[in-house]
Amino acid sequence: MTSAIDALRGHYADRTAAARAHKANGGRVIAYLCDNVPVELIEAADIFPLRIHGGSDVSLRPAQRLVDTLYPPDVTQRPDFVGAMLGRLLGGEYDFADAVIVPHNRNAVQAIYRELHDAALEHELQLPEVWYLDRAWSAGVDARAYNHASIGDLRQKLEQLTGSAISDAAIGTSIAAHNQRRRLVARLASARAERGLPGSLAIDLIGATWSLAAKMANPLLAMALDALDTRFVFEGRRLYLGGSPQDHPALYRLVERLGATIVAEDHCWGNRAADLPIDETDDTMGALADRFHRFPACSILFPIAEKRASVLARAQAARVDGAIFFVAAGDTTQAWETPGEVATLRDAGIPTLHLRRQPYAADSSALEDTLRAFIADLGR
Amino acid sequence: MSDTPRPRRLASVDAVRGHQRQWLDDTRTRVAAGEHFAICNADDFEEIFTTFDIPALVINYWNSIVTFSARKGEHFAAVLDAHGYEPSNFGLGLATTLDPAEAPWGGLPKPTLIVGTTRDEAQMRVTELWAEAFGCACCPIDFSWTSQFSRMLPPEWWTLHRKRSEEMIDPRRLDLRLAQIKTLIAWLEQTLGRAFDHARFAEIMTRLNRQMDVWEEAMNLIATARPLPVSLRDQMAMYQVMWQRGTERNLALVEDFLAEVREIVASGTGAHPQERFRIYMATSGNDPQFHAYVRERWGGAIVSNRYSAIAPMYARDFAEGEALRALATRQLFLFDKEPLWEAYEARRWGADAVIALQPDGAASTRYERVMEGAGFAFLPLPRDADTPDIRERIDTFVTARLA
Repeated sequence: MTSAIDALRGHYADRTAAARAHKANGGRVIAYLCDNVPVELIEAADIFPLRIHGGSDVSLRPAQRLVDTLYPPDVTQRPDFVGAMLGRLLGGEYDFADAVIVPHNRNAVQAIYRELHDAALEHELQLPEVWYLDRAWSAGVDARAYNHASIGDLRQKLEQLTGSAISDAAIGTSIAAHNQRRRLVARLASARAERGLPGSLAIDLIGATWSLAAKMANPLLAMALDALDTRFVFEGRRLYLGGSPQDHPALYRLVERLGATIVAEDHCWGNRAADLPIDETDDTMGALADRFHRFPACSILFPIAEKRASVLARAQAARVDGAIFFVAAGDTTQAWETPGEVATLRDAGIPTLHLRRQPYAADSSALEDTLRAFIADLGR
Repeated sequence: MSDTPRPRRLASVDAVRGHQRQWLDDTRTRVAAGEHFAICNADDFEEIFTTFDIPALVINYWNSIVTFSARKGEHFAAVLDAHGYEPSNFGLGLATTLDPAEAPWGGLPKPTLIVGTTRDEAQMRVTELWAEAFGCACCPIDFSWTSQFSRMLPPEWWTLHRKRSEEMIDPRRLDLRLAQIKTLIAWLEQTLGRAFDHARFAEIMTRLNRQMDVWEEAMNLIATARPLPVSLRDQMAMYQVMWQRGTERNLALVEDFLAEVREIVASGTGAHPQERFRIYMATSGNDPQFHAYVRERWGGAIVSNRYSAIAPMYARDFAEGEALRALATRQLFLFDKEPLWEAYEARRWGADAVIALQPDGAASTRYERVMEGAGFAFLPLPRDADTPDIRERIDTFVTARLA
C-alpha cells in the first residue's frame, strides 16, 4: 500500500496528474502562476487550482523562439525559473486548463500575460484563455481598495466561466480547508525546526500540495506528518535558505549529500505556504481580499526593512547554524534584496553564504565545492 | 575613409548642456542653504516638485550623466558589485551615493525624499536602498506597465497621447494613481509646511504642452529637411530639456533650439556633408558608436531613434481642474517599444534602413518582419560598438541592401 508520503511525492513528481484526472472526469481546471493567487476562490467555484511550475529540465527554447523574438531584448529580463514556466505553457503542458491566471508579481511573471497573448497572435498558437490578476504592491488604503476590487473581478470571471454564482458559504468552506492546509504546512515547518527533518522531503510534500485541491492535499499531508518518525533528530548542520524560488529539489538534495539540511527557507515553494491564514469571518470575500493585499507578490514587501526582519525571524525561529542565500542568474528581485538580508543575518551572528548569479539547475561542481567548504566551516 | 569633419554642434544644444550642469550647482547651493531636494523617476513626479519649487533630479537622467558624460559607468557598476548588488543602469545613481567621492559633477545633495516606483521590483528596491543610503524618506507609488504587461494597446496608439490618452490606460489604475498622487501631495504639504498651488501646477502643465509643441515643430523640420540639419548626437543632447519640463527656462531653451533649427534649415546646411542613405535606429540609446564609420565610409546618415519621437508624448491636453488627472495618465503610459510605431517613425524620417540591437542567434524577429514588410532594409547588430566585426556587418549590409 502506498504511503501518504509516497503519494505526495508521486504528485510532486508528476504535478499535473491530479488536475488532468480531474479534467478527464469532466471537471474544470485553472492553472496559475505564483503563490498569491487566491486558490480558495477557485475551489469555491468548484474548479481545480493547479499551480504552474518550472523545472531545470524544461527547454527554454520555446520562450526564446516564440516570445523573445517579439520584443527588443531589453523589454523583459527573465530568470530561467520563470522561463521554464513559460516554456511549459508554450509547450502545451497546460493546454487542458480552462484558463491561466497571471498575477501582477515580479516583472518577468506579469509579462507572461502579454507574452502569451502576443505569441498566440503572432504564431497562431492555440493557448488557454489567460486572465490577468492585477495587484497594487504598495501598502496604503488606496492600494488595499484596489486589491479588493481585483479579487471581486476574479470572482466575476470564475462565475462567468462556470455559469454559476459562487456562494459565500462555499468561499467560507474553501477558506477553512486552505487554512487547514496552512496549519499542516506550519506543523511540518515546526517539525523541521525542532528535529531537522530533511528539507528535500519538506519541499516535496509542500510542493505536492500546490498540485492538489485542498480536500486531496490535507488528508495526505496529515497522514504524512503522522507517519514521520518522531524520534528522528538530525545531528548535522541546520541551514536556512534565502534567495530565489526553488521549484525543484536539487539544491536541497545537494546540501543533504554534504551532511547538512535546510530546516527553513523563504521562497515561494517552501514554508511560506503556511503564512497568513485567512480570518474565518462572515465577510469571506473581505477576508480573502485582505490576505491577497497583505501577502507579498513574490517577495516584494515594502518597506525592505520589514522583509529583512521577516528573514531574520524565520532563520532564528529555526535555530539554524548557518544560512545560504542562493540568487539565480537574472533574478532582479533577489539581486537587490539579498545583500541586506545577508548583512542582517551576519550582524545577528549567523554565518551566511551569499551565492550570486547561480544556474537554475543548482548542480554544478563549483556550487558543490563552495557549499562543502561553507558547511565544513560551520563545524569548526 | 574620408576625413570629413564631425557634424557641427548647435549653440542652443550647448546651452542646454551648460544649463543642466549649472542647475546641479545651483541645487547644491540651495540645499546647503536649507532648501529641499527630491529624486524621482523620469516620468513620475517632477511636475509636482516643480510646483512646490523643489528641485528634483530624474533618476535615469542622472544615470546617463554617470554613463555618458562622466564615463564612469564601469566604475559604479563595480561599486554595486562590491556591495553585493547586480550592476544595472538603473542602479548607477545609488552607486554614486555609495561612493560619493567619485560621483560626477560634484555629486548629489541629500534629498528630502525619493519617490519610489513599483514599475518593477528592481526599481522599487533601488529607490528604497538609495533612500536608505541617503537617510531620507522613500515613497513608492504604484505603477503597472500598461503597454508591456497588463493591457493591450489600441492600434496606432502613438496618435492618441494628446487628446485620447485615457484609451490607453486602465481606468481603475488611473483612479489608484490619482489617489496616490494626492496622498503624496498631502504628505509634501505637511512636510514642507506649504500648500500645493493647483493654479501654478496647471500653468506648468500648460507650459509643458507648449514646450512639447515647440519640440515637435523642431523635430518635424529636422525630419523633413534634406540633408539632415541636426545630428542625432545633438538631438539626444537636446533631450535633456525633458527634465525640468514645463519650466520657463526649459521652454526658452527649446524655443532657442527651434529658432536655430529654422536658420539651419533655411540655409540648407547639413549635419553631414553627404547623405547617400538614411538610417533609423530602433533603440533608446545615444548616437551609436559606429555612426562615424557609417558616415565617413558610406556616406550614411543615422537620422533618428525612438527618443526623438518620445518627447511630444509627454504632452496631454486637459480641461480646467483636470491637470492632475492628465499627469496621472502620462505617468501610467508614455510609450511602448513596438515595431509598428517605429516603422511609422522610420517612414516619417525618410529612412531607407533600420538598425536594431538584438543578440546574435535569435530567430527572425517581429521587428525584422515588420520593418522589412514596411520596406526598410533591416540590420540587427548585437551591440553598439565600433569594432571590426560590427564594421564588417555594416559593410556587408550596405553593400547588399543600400549601395
